Amino acid sequence: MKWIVTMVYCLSFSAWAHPVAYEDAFSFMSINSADRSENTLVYSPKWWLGTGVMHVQKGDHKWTNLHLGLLLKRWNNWESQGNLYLFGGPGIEQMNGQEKYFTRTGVQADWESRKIYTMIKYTSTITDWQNQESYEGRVGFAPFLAGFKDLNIWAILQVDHNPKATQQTEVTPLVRMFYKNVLWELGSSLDNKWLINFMVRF
Amino acid sequence: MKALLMSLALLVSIPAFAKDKVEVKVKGMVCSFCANGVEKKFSKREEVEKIDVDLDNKLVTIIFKEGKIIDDDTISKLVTESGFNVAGIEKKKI
Repeated sequence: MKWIVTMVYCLSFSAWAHPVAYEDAFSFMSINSADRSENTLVYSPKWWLGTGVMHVQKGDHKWTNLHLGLLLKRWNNWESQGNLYLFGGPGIEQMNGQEKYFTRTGVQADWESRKIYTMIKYTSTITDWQNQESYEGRVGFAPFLAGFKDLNIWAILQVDHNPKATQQTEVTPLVRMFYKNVLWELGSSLDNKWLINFMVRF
Repeated sequence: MKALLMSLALLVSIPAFAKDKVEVKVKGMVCSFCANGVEKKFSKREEVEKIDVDLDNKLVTIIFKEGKIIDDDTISKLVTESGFNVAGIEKKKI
């Protein structure tokens, strides 16, 4: 049971990141909370493809998986951009000296303008003993319009829903800041779980 | 007469030393974090002297080194590889 509960909690991967970047770009993403850390390195050989590896750790419980992100459709408009992604990959889960295999697949859609940001994501994790599903959503706004070389600040509300978790729904208000190719997010859930995210693209 | 001919030759040669400036209208460029890809793509090209990204006007301005330029197809390809679409390209001499 401990395996199941911690897996549901820990497999809420990277709600905030695009699964692909621009062509020939590396993205390093780190998500950290009080009891868990997640680090992902992705290389995009094409602007519609992301490949990499993801590592999640919660105490002595570890998950490592390959990451494959595919941009299915992009809508480039004058005042907004929308994206539809497919992502997933096989991985190994390690705990108490045991190793188990899992496969993660999901779909993500986002839409943003210079003032509004929205994102929804569905993730399915299949193991040899059960399937897990998780739902994630974000909505945010920019209190002011920042230029290309300015510090950008966003206020975002993140909602995570895991039907099989002890705490099924978690709401986290957070602040996003980015400057040039570096992005930070600082937040705290309504039940006081802090969150620090970091991403750099190069 | 000789001075006149030299003056004419100098006048004719001036445009040859002018730099090219290209303004690219880009669709989908609404996030500065994502638009870094455009700057990186063009900055890596040896023809490019300077690049400026204007999110308000969805405009990428590229100033080329003297005697250097990138053709429209390559500009469109670089913008596409950055994740956006080109809506128009305008070339100027500066």
